[in-house]
Amino acid sequence: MPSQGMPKSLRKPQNYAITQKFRGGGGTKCYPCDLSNIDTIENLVKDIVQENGKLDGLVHCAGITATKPLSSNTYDFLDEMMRINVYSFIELVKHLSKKKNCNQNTSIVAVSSAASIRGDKAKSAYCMSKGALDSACQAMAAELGPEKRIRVNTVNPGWINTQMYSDYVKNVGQEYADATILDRQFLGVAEPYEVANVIAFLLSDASSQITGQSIVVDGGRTIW
Amino acid sequence: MINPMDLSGKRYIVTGASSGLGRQVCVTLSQLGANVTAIARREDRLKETLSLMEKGEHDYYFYDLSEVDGIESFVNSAVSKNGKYDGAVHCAGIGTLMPVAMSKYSFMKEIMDINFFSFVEMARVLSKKKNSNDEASFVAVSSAASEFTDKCKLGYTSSKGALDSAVKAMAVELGASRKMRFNTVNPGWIRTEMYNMIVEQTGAEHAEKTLSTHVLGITEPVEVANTIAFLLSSMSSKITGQNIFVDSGWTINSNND
Repeated sequence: MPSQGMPKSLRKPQNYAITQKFRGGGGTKCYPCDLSNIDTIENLVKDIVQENGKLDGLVHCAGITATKPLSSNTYDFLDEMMRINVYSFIELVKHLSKKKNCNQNTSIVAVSSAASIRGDKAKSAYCMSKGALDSACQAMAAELGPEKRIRVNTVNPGWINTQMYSDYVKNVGQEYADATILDRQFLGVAEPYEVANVIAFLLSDASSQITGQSIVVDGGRTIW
Repeated sequence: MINPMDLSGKRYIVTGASSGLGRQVCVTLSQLGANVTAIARREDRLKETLSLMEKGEHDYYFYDLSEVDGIESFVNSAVSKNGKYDGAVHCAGIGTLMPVAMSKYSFMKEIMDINFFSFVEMARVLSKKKNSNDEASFVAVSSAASEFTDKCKLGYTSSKGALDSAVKAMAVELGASRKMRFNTVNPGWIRTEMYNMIVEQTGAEHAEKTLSTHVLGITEPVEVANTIAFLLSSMSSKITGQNIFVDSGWTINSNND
């Protein structure tokens, strides 16, 4: 069950109920887990595989962000950011990539961010964590590709129409948000499904020779 | 089930359609429901491509893309015949190896004309409002060689690097108003005639060494064609100005020579 250390949105029990509604034809199951407790992840993977059989992949969407000037950065703050955004993902891949836990041609996707290639004020922890994901994916792709044929990639979105975006708009006002976001992200703020489609592509065989890549899905934000 | 890569009713120009990757792109796009205008120099081989495609409102033109000045009138005639297009895929390209000392202007110009200038000219004309629909998507086949070059690849690497940059400039200028997108795919070694030619020129040992750094093995044309279809489709609606490496992990792997 949800514990104290969980990211805010996942601490709400009603969010589990919402997720559980999406029971598609293939069957969807929810496994509550506090990803900041790295030690629990091995058993989580074990339980999932025991109940469902071998897996074909993993999408790591969990992540936290924070706006914090460098002067108020602490080691504990950096550690929390890294644990949820990066270390939990590495631990998940470590266990998932075992032969007994995944099928041939498994595909793994981590949600990174355009923040890994363009910095911003008061975002050093967030940018660091997303850059770490990008680099870790390259190394894991090189290690898991040749024999296990496991692919590892990231998607790097710009602004998405999620809670993170509406919080930003609430903070700075719509006019300022449009001026700072839409001017650069000229294809507009992405709807979540537009990023989900790219993740689905990376999971599918249609991307069978793409590995170790960071696919930027940012509506043009970081190309100029 | 939905197929978000569905291209039914869309129309694209595909260059380099008579062989290798270009042929596979024509076949894959036709399988996804698109109508294709196929362009190549070799008539018999172009007809063979057509015979491999799923039925659709396809047509073809024999055209030598090194005649860059003629591309505008050729695109205009294709539009007046078929109506507006939804984008283009530039597969035409040559990979002639040449040492720096022998890469004279005439050689560089030849490789840039076919690999680069013909794409820019085609995209320039086709992206006009009278010639293309909003949200049109353009894909140029670049190469992992734009980042990982090799001896005797001055011309080839330069032409691919130019493509990588050009799509960014086009994306920024033409993206805001009509939501048009411009991207490249950057393959490593694909099993095509160009691959066979390079193996012949550089020797099997060199080829084997290079391939050993492709962590998922050599790439089949269909695997690149699938990524191109993805970039044309609405599935990639927020991806623009990007260089998508479809290179089997070649350029992310440090065990390279």
